[in-house]
Amino acid sequence: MWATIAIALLIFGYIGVIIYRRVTKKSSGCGCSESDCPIKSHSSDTQ
Amino acid sequence: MMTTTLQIALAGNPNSGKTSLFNEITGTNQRVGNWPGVTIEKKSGKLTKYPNVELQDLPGIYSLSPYSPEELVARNYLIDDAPDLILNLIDGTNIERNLYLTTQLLELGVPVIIGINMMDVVEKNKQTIDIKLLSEMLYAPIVGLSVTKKKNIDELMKRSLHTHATSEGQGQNHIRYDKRLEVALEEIADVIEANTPENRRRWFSIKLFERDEEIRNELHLTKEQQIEINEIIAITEKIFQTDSTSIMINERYDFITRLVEKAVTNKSNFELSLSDKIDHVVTHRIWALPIFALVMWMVYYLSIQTVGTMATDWVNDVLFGEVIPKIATSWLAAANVAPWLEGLILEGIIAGVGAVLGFLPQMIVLFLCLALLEDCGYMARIAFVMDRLFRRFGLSGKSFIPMLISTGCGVPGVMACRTIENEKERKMTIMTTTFMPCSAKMPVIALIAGAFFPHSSWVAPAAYFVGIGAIILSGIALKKTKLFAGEASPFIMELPAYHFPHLKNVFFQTYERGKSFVIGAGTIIFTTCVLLWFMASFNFKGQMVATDKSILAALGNSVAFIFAPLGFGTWRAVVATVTGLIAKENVVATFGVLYAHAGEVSENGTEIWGALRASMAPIAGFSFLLFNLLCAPCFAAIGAIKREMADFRWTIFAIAYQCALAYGVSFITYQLGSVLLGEQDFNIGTVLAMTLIVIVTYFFIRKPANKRKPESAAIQIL
Repeated sequence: MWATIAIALLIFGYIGVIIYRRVTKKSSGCGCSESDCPIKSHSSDTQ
Repeated sequence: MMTTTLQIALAGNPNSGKTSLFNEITGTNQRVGNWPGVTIEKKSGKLTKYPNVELQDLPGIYSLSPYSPEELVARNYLIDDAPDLILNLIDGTNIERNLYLTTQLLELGVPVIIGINMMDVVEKNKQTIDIKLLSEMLYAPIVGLSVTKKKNIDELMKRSLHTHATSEGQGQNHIRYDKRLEVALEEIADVIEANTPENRRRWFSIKLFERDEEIRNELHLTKEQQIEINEIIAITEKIFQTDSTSIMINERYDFITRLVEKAVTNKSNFELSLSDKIDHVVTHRIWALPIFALVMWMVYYLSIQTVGTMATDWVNDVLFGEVIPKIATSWLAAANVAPWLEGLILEGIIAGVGAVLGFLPQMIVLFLCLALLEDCGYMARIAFVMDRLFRRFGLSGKSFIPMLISTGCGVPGVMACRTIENEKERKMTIMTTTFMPCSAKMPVIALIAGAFFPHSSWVAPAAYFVGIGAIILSGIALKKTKLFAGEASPFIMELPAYHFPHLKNVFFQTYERGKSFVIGAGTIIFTTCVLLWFMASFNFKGQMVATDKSILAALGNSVAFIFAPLGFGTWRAVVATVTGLIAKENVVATFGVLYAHAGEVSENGTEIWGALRASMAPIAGFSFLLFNLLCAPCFAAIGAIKREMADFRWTIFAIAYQCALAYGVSFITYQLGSVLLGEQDFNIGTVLAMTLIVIVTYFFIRKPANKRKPESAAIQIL
């Protein structure tokens, strides 16, 4: 049972982080999330 | 922490190598491309060797006139933010045209250092540039360099810092034009003496002489001053017998011609370069398009049919088919996890994410081929070739650059439409550019091609040409409506010289696209797979049930009738299409989850192909592919469309148009295709498809709205 709880927490925690990062991402001006933005126009990437 | 003390603006013509230099000296990896217009916004970065120096990479511009959005971005920065130094990068192989911007930059009152790039190509072309003489004549320090060969970059940066520290590069008062023009400029300078700082007075005088409205408003001139300036301009125009803008352009070019005559020698006059010889073939009036079709067929043949497929088969059959599921099963059994969690991991996450990642090898080969074509300069030629084709249908070759970028991702593709000045053309390009198959649509293409047409090499490249075809046909039809009527705007583009692809650029671009694909699979696809598994495992009462009785089946079945006329009215295909709106890779992931969950296949990718083949006929599979290629793009791209349109109604119109076109094309393909292939008898659907063809043909052949208008006006007058 503990393994089930631990793995489930891991999966849903990870999903929670993904959703949190998507929701709170800094606007890159192009709509992509910062990590996979193909044009990287935001200055944070270049500094 | 070191504070930024020096701001350097990197300015120059499009495709002069600014972003490559920027990447080299800031240690960053901005997108570079061997075609003009890669940079559409300014970007900043600190110099690796001098962290207290910040470099601003400005969009490539030909002049400082406020005509295009890129010119405005660059000009506003140079005027309003007043950098400490301008680093003007010049393409040495096109020095005459590049110096036009230089003459304007030197007038700004900001120290300028000039870097003449591509000196290696200049030497290869048997040209010599007397840098010392040029430097003396322009009264600005000049360094010859080659960014791609990493030659003299350090020297350029050292000289830049030296230029800032001394009074070098202040050449604004040293370029002298015709005496009669100089008198006029001096008189204007006297009139605005109280309104302007001394170091910028010449720049303002020239801009006022050119009747630059923005500058005129900025200076808040009195009525008397304006009258006086207008008189000076009118007298000068009378003397030169042409308008003031033309006077300035002619004088600048006269000055540049004198410079080039003295400082540049060309020993290979009238000799065709290798680039010219290649262009004679690949941009040929007749052969250009067949050659392009052949090249793209080869790219897809290599990536989807042969080289990429071998690796994809291994990833699907062995890695995600045997190795990972076996290890996961034994671990989960040993940990004694609940059956539902085992199902979620094996049938949800591994099957879904694995189905998408299985296509990674094919994607890598495809990205590599496209990066090679872009970097060597071939794709820039295609924009030129396409301009010839597009122009016949009322579109401009400018629309091809966003299309080219969209083959990577629709979001920057839509953003690149900003460079199209004509509003109607820009809106039309925004609406249609996502028809091009982006990298996220590639797994869908590979899935359908592999499942239904494993021995046909034409299906995958056909998806690329369907995208181009949809754009052209949309152009023809939409240009005939009042909303988009008008002549195509002129397209001027400099063709960069061919060169051997720079491996660093090619591998970097392939890596970036591949990384983006893997990150997408590990984040958004992962999340969707978990959600899909739950929706495919439980009913509305929260009970665990068979897939066919799940929430997903109920939702899919409730709207499946809409897609039945397209041949894929099964709930699984419908759910896959809808989840594709989140990210297009989800189409493949959804099939992975749903077929694995139903126990029809293991987590083996190619078994998904078999299950898919069993669920619909090949023509329905092709119709499914067409619909998913042409319908509304993913939410990220829809967001980009909304931002670029800056209008909610236009966004809705664009999405509705894309969905309607996708539905129409799929409907005609399935209804007529199934009858022609003997899979269906002639029925009401066939009649409707033929009627639709007649209606669409009418939209293609009817008179354009701007030619219909005078007739109606004449009727009103009568």
